[in-house]
Parts: sequence; C-alpha cells; structure tokens
Amino acid sequence: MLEARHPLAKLACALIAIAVITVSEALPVLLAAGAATLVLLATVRQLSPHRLLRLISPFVLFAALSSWIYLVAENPAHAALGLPGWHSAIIVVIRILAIGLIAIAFAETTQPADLARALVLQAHLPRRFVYGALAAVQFMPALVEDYRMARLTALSSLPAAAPGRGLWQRWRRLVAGMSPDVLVAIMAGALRRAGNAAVSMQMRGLADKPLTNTWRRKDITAADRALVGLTVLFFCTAYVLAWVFA
Amino acid sequence: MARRVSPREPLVEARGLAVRFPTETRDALREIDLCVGQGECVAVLGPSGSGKSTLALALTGAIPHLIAAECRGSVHWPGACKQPAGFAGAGRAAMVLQDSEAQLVALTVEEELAFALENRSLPGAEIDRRISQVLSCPPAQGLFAGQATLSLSGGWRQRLALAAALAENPALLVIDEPTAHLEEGAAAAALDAVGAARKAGAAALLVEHRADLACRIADRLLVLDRDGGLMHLGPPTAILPALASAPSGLGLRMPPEVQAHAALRRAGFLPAQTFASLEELAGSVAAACTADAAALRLVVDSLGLSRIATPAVRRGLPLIECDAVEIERGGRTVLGALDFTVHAGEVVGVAGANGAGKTTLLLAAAGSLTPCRGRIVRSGPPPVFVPQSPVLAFSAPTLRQEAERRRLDWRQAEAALEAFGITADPARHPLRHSQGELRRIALALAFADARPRAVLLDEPAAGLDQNGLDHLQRDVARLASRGCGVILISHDLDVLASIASRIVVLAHGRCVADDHAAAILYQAAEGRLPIAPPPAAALARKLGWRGADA
Repeated sequence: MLEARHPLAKLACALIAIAVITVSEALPVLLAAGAATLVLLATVRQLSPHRLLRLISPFVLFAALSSWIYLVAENPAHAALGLPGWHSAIIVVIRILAIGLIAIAFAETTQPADLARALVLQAHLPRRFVYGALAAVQFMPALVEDYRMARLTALSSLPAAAPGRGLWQRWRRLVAGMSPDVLVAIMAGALRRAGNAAVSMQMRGLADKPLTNTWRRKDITAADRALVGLTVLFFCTAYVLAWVFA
Repeated sequence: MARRVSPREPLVEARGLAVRFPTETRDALREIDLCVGQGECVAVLGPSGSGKSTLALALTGAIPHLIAAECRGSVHWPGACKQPAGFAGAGRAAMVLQDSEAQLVALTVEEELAFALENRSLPGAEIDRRISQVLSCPPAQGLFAGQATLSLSGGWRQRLALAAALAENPALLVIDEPTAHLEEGAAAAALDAVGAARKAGAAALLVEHRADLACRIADRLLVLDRDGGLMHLGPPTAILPALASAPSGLGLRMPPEVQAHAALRRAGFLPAQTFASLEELAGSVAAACTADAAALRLVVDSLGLSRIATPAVRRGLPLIECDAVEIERGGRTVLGALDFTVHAGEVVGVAGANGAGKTTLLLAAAGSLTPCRGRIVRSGPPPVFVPQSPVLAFSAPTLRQEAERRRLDWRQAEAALEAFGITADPARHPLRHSQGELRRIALALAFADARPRAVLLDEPAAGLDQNGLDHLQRDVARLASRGCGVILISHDLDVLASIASRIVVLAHGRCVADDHAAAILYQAAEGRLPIAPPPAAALARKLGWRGADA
C-alpha cells in the first residue's frame, strides 16, 4: 500500500511528522506518532520484529546517549514547568525513537531511484545534486568494505590471543585498524571513486538540463494527496485529544 | 582479425593530438594521428603509463571538458553537431572506465542500465526494450533486472558497466582494460560482447595491455611507447610479428601463436612470410610441430611452459597449516573443508573464478577471519598481508613510523626498500606513493625482517603489464629465497603459473585441485578444471604438449 504511493507524498508526510515531533513537548502526541508508525510497519509493511530491532538499534543507542544527561541535570525549560528530570529524558528518548521509526518507514517503502526521479522531475531539484547523492549512497558499502579490509589487514599483523596475555591482546585486536591514518587512506580511496563516478555520470549524459522522458515517472494522485491530508489530520486530532485529556 | 579491410567512413579523427596534465612537466600523449572508422575496432596497446587511457578520454572529449588538461592538435567527430552544454563525443561515445566499479551509480541492475538512456531522454518503451535486449545476451546474461548492484561481485559489476555502455547503442564504444579483473572465461565473454556490439554497427576503441586478447577482435592495433608517442599503427598481422621478433620492452602479453611462430622462424623451422590471420599463423605453427618434435619442444620453451614444468620445490618448515577449515559469512559457507599447508620457501598460487573464495582463504590464513570449523596453525611471526588495494596495508603517517610499527630498524628497512628499487624517504607519507610502489614497499618490509614468515598477496598482478609482472616475479622469488612462504591469489592462471610453484584451484569455496603449476595448466587446458586455460597452455595442448612430461 505505502510502496505504491508517490515518493514526494511520503517525503512530505515524513517531514510533517518529523517537524511536529521535533517541536512538540506533548508526550501523548509523540507516543501516538511512534505507535502509529510502529503499527504501519508491523501490519502494512509486515516488517519482522528482528529486522525492526536491527534497524532501530542505532536510534536506541543515540537516544540512550542523548537522554541520560537529563537524569542528572535538569532541563531548565522543563524545570520551570515543575517537571522532573526523568520527564525530559523520556521525551528525548521517545522523540528520537519516533523519528527513527518514521525514517525506517520511509526508507522501507521508497526506492531511492524513484525518490531521485521524483525529486528531479517534480520537485525540480538539480539532477547533478540528486544523482550525486544517490551515487554517494552507492559508495557507502564500498567504504564499509574498505574499512573492513583495512581492519582485517591490521588484524593479520597481530599475534593470536594467547593464554596469560589474553586480555591485552584481545584489546589490541578489538581496536585494530581504528587509527586516523587508516581513515585518511579510506577517504583518499573515496575521493578517487567520487571523481571517477562524476566523470562517468557526465559522460553518460548527466547534466542540469530538464528531462523530458517518462520512464518510471509517477504522477501525484488524489490518493497521495489524501495521504498527506491524513497525516495532517492525525496530528491535529492527537493535539486536540492531548489538550482535552490533559 | 583484420576482417574488414575496406575503407570506412571516419567516425572520429585525431590530428597531432597531445595532452599535458596540470602540474606535469611532460606530455602524457605526444602528437597522435588516428582516424577510427565507422564499425572499426582499434586496440590501443602500450606499457603502464604510456597514455592509453588518456588517448581514450581525449577522443571521447572527456579530456579537456571533464578532466582538466592542456590539449594541442584536434579531435573531430565528422557529422556531430557540437552541443552548447556538452562536447562532440557526448551521446556518440560510451565509455567503460578502468575502475568500472566506481562508475556504477544506481542501486539495481535495471536502473543502472537505464541511467544514460534516461539522461538522453529516450521514450520509456525504448528504454524497457533496450534493457531486456541487453539482459538477454553477454555480458549481462545471468543478471536480472531487480538485482541489487551492491550484491554483485567485482567481476559482475564490471560486466554490468559494460552492459550499460552497450545499452546506449553508441557509435563508438570505448573500453579501458575490460579484462583487468576478469578470469579468462569471463574476459573472453566480455570481448565477445564487444564483438556483438560491432556486429550491430558500433566502432570500438579497446585499451589493453594484453595484446593476446585485444588482437582477437581488433582490426587495427595502435601501439604507444613509454613516452606516449605513436610507435605502430596497423593490422595485427603486420604489427604483432614485428613486436614478437624484436624485444620492445613494452610489457605486452603477446598471442601465443605469434610468440611460437617467431621462435620457430628464428630457429629456421619456418620461413619468413606474411599472414592474413592468426588462425593461418597457428596453422603454420601446428604444421611445423607435427613435422618435427624438436619444433614442439621449442614452442613449449618459447611459451615459458618448460620452465613451469620443472619447478624447484624446496620446502622448509610449515608456516601455515589449515585443517578442514570452514568459514561462513552471512549464514553462507564461503570456504568449505579446506586442507592446505604452506611451507617456508614455497610460493603457492590460488586460482579460481570471481567469487570462488580466494580472498576469504587468504584472510583466514592471515588470522583475520576465524574459522567456524577446523583449525589453522601458524608458525613464526605474524604474516604480512597485502590487500588488493595496498593503501589499506599502511597505517602510519611516515615510512619510518610504518617500519617502526612493524618492529623494524629503519636502516634495515631502508636497505630492503632500496633492494626493491624504492627510494626510501623516511618522512614521506605512504599515500604519496603509487599503488605499485606501495605493494613493493609492503614486500620490501616483509623482506627486511630476517625471520621466515608467511607473505599473503591479494591479486598483486591486477592491472600490471608484463614488465610489472616480471618485477613481481623477481620480488616474490627473493622473498621465497629468504625463507618466506608466499601465497598469492589471482584470477589469471598464466600469471600464477609464472610465479608460483604450486597452484590451488578453488570453485564455490572448495578446493578442486592442488598440484604443481604445470600439472594445473595442463588439466585446465584439457578442460578438467572449472577455470579457463590461459591461451599459451591451450595452444600448447593443441599442438601436443603433455604437461610436465613434455
């Protein structure tokens, strides 16, 4: 269902939701946004709990790192309202997790190429910018692979953990390849790749002149507009209910 | 070879073309005159750094429009109207870069094939038609439309880049070293795809340092010298015998028929005569070998097979022992039940098709990957592992610190670096050296340590010309003489046979053969191994070579 919707409509919904979650301090609104997205992912997208946990784990880590400070030091804005520190921490955690769920829902239901095409054809963004960003996404696994190989190379120069000296050697193996110079080498490779890709893309006709073809072009339909309308309606309702029951 | 001799309509003409890159003090390309006709295939040959890729980029207009360089002379595309925002070659030439993996921009096969077609604003139905057409024949046969490009191996990504260029239906297909990362069978398939494009009317400019592959489809060869000047231009049958009869030092890998013919002619078995095709040349060699067994011995010798047939096996203590090793990645067995030992002073080659598990084997032997079953025993100091991109083997900001990191005294390291032809500057950042130099530095630092150890090289021959291979061979032999056990992997059986005394062949993560180099070459030539034989072994086998017994 969501896969069939226009990428720009989904992007608009995601941006509206993220904007509301970012500025809202109302816990019920944040909870409602997170819960609704979770229900969508579980029922409509049928994402398995295991995959959902894997995808949300970076946001959980970020939430934990960002919220603990409010448990030991009060947020002045909340303190003025007489709210305890843990309240601020919970709001930060739920806000980050809700944004994470929305980002996952968007990424899971949108093909990057469809989004790029829509941004160029309908949002009229420069093609070089959009396809450059798409190519950069393509490079990420290559960079990860380069880092993996650098780490494995560094590991090969270390002796295996031996009894008696195990802890120190295990620590050395854990941090193998984590040096700024390895990152410099990886970035040098990334720059070379990016240069090649830029030349190749322009030789393959990438320019900023407008496209006229219709391959895989999706038009924005009434259903797409309805999806954006429903999103706005959802947040309005959530705010009214939160105010009524407060 | 030399299939079309009739004069052709010119497609692109270069006159007095010279290119100099910013910050360089000499021209990368000097005064080149070349006219590529419609439907013609020209192969550009020459040693590394001779300006082959520069010529290709300049002909398409990428130099100077996309890559800054000072150009003299002219490149003219008759019949092309110069677009205000582009250049004359745009839309008429499609190019596959040397680093073809870096030119993939889309996340699925279908989107990658459509990228240029969309940019050229082709109708949707035409884009769909071209995608289905390209996917139904080599080199993209075996790929499917929705397949993720990130899931493809290096060899398949190279094929996809070539297929995307073919989908453009270009007037000129420019391919820079299409076979550099492909095993023999895949390389032949890639060249067949270029041949198919030519049948459809496209001209091709093929940049290669493997003359043996290029001459299979080229109408003319253009040979560049070390300084980027034009050395030869003409049909292969005229140029290759001339190159084979006099050592040129160009580092080209010649077709075995030509090498064999030159050897027989020098020894008086064959008269000096001209040929219209390589097949005719091969026929003449075969006739001489049938008539005289001494001619066959001479041919086997000239192809370097007799040297391979008598390996000097001098085994020391075992350095790495793999016992029933199994490695899984992502729930899939990538290496299964492998028994494998490398001794001090031994050079072992690992061959296999793209994705056979060669790098995994090397990483397991290096101790970087832990087997899920079986055990690996390593003796001596930790091994030296040099990845395919040798930049990743260095993690110190200067050469001196790199030597110290490896617990080497700088004077010791300096002497070893000089022995390997590297001018040692202790304060220089490793990244300021070329890829080839970095590989040699890694080998030299392994050599500097007096203790015998294992040295593991991942595709050290990729992209090297014959001169580079000769250097590599000498360097590896020097390490073995110091008591190091060397494992090197390559998709090129010919390269392995010239360097290693023993070859292990992998297929789908399993060892299917482990024997001395000559036996492996012979088995491959007989079709008993899942890897295509090198052209020299295939020719020798046809002529009656019997492997190590010859």
